[in-house]
Amino acid sequence: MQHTTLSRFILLPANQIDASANANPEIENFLISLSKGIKATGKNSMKLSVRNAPKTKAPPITLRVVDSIQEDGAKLVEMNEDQMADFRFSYPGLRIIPERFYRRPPLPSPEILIKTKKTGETIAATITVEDQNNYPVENAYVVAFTDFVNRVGGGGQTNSSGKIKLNLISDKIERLYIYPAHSFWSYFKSRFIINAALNIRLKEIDIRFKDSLRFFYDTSALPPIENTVKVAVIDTGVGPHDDLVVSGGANTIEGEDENDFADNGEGHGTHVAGIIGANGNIKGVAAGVQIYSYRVFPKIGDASNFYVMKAIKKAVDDGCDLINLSLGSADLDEGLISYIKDAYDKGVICFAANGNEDRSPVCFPAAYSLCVAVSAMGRKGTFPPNTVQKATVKSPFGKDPQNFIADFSNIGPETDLTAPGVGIISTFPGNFYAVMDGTSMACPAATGIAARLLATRPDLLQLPKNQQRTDEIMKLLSVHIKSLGFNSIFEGKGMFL
Amino acid sequence: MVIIVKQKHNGDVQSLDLLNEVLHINNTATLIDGSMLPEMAKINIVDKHIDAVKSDLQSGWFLFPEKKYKIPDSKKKLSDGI
Repeated sequence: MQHTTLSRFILLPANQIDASANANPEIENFLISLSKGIKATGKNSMKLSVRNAPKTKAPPITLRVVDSIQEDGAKLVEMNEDQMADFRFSYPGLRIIPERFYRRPPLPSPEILIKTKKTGETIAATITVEDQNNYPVENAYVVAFTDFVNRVGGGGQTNSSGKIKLNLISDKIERLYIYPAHSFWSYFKSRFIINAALNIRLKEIDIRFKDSLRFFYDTSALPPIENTVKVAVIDTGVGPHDDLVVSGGANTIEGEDENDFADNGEGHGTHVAGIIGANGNIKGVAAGVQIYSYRVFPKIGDASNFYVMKAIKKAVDDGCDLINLSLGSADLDEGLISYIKDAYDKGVICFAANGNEDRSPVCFPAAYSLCVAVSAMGRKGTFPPNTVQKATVKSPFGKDPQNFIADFSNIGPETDLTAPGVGIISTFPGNFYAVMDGTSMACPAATGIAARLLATRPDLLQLPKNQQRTDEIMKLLSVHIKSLGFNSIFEGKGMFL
Repeated sequence: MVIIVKQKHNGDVQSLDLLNEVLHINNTATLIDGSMLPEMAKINIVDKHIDAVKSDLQSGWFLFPEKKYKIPDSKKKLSDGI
């Protein structure tokens, strides 16, 4: 269902405040045309055509120019939020910044803190996690909620015997989640009374299983891409895995070996890279692509924006065409913005994950207008019963009601695309395979398909590395996106199909 | 306070001199990671000198706060983060 929420935005060229000599001249012409259109007609409202797949109709974008700072510069415009993704793909090379208002800070007021005291007995329950042959599964993360809404319960990781002891305030479990590190599907159970001992057997991953990614993209049937496309994975590192070839990269973490860009053991980056370019027992969506790994997460601790900025710069200098950023935070990061902008100016597009905070606003850097922001969708029937994926099913449902937007996916008008991100099978360090959920998985699905599309256009690959190249790539991508029937805050323009 | 400094104009010798002065002459900040010099660096400013250092550097350098990113995770967690 379409909303008719009109919102105000500021349109700015990708770099600086007015169209400069380095910018795509089409941007300058577009901004000037908005000014001239008003002068010629006396009307500040205009209809702009939408760039779509052939034979796909879309209503024109209605844009009202409220104010202008200069003829080839910033414009304050009014636009339907539903049409933002269409606008970004149809008129790339512009920053779209929401209009913001600054208020006088409120006076400080006393806070009242209510703390709930822990009283009464707790109930001990030991959960044993095993495989189908009764062998213990170590390092599985187990969490049991007695109050899911308020996230109250018990949790931890299984030991070498596959056991975890929980202390709970009630034996009534609202939800139980078990997340193995690799090799198995997860487990989910809801609304039951827990006994002192509970045994759970996990189902082993069959890499031939058709997950949601392979439902939409038959990766085993896709030919390896032929023209050289380089994709940067800025993450925990990639590999080692026999299904993956890493062509280059760097470790940008202070104090670590610059040439050690293998996975730090966490597995996130290897899984992401596999979705893009695995080419062995399993295939990614762009098998044949050149993967460059930039490790920015240390073995212990979080990634400094300095490491991420350095990684983006190195990826651009190494000749990468696309950058995958399956990371984010709620806050704006001016430092990262400067490097994403610089990448865009040098012909490189950054794809970023929306974030996994349960339908919260799109996080940064995905929310930044020069990044392609990706939400996560799933499909019923593409995961076994009694798995965690079952709990991610939530409305809205698409035109095909088997499709849904994952319950954890952040959403908002900054969303550009959606992609499969529920129950995704991919590579894990040490030649294992793992199932993961997240916008972290959806993002590389989109990046990988973008790489595959780019590989069909050697003319674009050979363009000089400047903003015009980036804009032309965005235009190519825009005609390969199809709506799945969700509102644009969930899917943006849609999915690559 | 840890901040990231990025040259406003690549190759600007004067701004490099400014940074050098802050780090090695005034000793109001220390270099944490200079692997990206001359373009960018991570420095630690002694708290009492923050205003002075910012004033000294801002003509030639953009200053950004250091921020940290966590590995994204869609797993459900308890309210205390476990």
